[in-house]
Amino acid sequence: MFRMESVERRFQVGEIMTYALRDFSLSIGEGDFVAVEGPSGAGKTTFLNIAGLLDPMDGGKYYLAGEDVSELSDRDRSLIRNQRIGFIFQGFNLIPDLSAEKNVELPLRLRGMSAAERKQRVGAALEQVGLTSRARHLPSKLSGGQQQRVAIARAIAGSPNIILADEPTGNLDTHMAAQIMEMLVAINEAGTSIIMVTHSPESAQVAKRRIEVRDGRIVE
Amino acid sequence: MFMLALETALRSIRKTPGVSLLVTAAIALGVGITMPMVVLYYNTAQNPIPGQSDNVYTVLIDNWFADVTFWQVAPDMPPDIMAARDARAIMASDIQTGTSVGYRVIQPIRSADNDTRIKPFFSEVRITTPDFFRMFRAPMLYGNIWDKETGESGANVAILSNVTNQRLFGGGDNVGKEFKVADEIYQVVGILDAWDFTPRLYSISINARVEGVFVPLSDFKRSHLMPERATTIGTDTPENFDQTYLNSETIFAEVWVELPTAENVAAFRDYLDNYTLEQKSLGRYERPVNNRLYSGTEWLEVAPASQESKSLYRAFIIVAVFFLVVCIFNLLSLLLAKFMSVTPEASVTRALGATRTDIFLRYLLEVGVLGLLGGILSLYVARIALRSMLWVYISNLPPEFKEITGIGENPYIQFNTSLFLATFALAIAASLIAALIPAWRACHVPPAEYLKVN
Repeated sequence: MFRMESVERRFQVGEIMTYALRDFSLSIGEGDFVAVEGPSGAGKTTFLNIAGLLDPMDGGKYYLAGEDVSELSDRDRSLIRNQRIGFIFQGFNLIPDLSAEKNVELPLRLRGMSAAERKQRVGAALEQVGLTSRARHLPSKLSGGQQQRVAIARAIAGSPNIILADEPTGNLDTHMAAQIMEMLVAINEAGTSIIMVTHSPESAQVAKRRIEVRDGRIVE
Repeated sequence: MFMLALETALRSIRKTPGVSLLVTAAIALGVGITMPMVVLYYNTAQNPIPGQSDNVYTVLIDNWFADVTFWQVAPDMPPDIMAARDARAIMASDIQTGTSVGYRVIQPIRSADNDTRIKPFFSEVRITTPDFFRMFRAPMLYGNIWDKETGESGANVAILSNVTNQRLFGGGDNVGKEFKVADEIYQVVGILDAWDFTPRLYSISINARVEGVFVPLSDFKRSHLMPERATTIGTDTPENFDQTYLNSETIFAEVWVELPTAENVAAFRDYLDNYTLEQKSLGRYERPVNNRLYSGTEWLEVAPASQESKSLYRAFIIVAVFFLVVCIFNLLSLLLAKFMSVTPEASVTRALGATRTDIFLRYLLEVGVLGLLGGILSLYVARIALRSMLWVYISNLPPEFKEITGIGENPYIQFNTSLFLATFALAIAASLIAALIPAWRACHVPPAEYLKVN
């Protein structure tokens, strides 16, 4: 379902070439839940950005749902992000002046979905994260945990093949983090693959598989 | 997708009200200062009778000195006025379907019974033939054009402009009433409706408006009305009207003919060439035959007087465009700051599936909306700027000129639908041009840069 082969990402700083990812290969099956761990600067976020087609790669191959997505145009990458990938960020990244339901609706509008279908999907996603009653609230009126639940609803509303979560519990207290992890487990059990970058061993232990990244390489 | 982009653009405007206001003000100022120059140029260069200007032709015969230039700006161009004897010959031709022969004088206008409540004033008076009104689409409000017999009889009848009708009689239907032109009683037979005929095609000169009074040519017999613009060739004494103006080479008559078909035009050219060759064989015309026949449309392009005014306003436009360019550069940096301030949101939208093109177009849409607002505001700025310019211009005119032309009361500067739309088009175009680079840069920011830190 998800396969990276010898992916490379490098940066030139002055005369020094720095490798953020080097010979990075990873294969993930359908319905898998992978926790990516490692120290700061190990290349976890770079990996996630490449996996999410947000950053280009400098070498290697990347296959998503059987399709080579290594060298797609911006339009095609955007289309894949919109239809096959769901994102959950540490800082939530909600649009501050859009209500919870409008935030969830945004990727569906970008997809060109009809208003009726959008309404149905947004309602179902918010119900799944337990925020139906807060649908019209602005993010600033929601707690951190609730904001992250809105972000989860936004990620699942489009029924993606895979969810990429970058430190989803990083900004939350222990109780709230546990709730979020329960939701991710439920989503995974429903069939959606998840790749989660985390520093938290508690969060990582709910994953089906744990990998560690050091110096841009997997040291599983 | 368009509605989403529009909603996002409107939200962004609301989120950055200060910068949005500055952007709108910069557009309004740049376009609002530029448009008055365009308006002045337009009023000089526009075609006042589209549709008819290709049917009317001005006739130029070169009877000027062999060794002297008539026009400084167009040395080879014959004078745009001709001798009465030549004008009479053209009036005798039956090739054209209409003939307008006339000249302009400036005379005191007063009430017929010297009513002291009506202050006498100077006005431009056009001595002309009846076809003039039809050929140049003069709108008649009351009464009629004098008939042929009345015109030929030399009767003192007149048609008033609406401005003169207002000044003399306070407006309304005053057909049949009398007034004085140069101490002779004239009877009103017609009154024109408002007639914004700019530029004055039949007698182009800078700032010229239609005349206040129109009287019959009556075969050049109105010796009490001396032409305002006449150039004497030869040694005739100016005291004798007949000798000076009618039987001499003195040029003063503006001649236009109506030639609706190409056959008419060709036949008239032949007639003109034959006539001038014949006259030359009789000892007239120092120069080689240099007849010109310009349609109204062509005359707007080549008339030396028109060239002078157009050159002046073109220079104004160049200065104004420089100002607009400075505004666009300022806009560019404002927009760059504005777009960068909303980059985090754009990055999230990119992550959720928006393409670079979507983001680029959404930025352009936002600036287009601000351009539209700037366009509305620029109409007010342009109006204020135009009025200020006219006020400065009119207040510095000699009082007698203001009185003669009535310019103070009716400056006749058109700001029509085309100019209205042009203002919006310019505002939107200027804002989009300014937005291209900032939008391009902003949509190429890698989204990942902002997703982690936010």
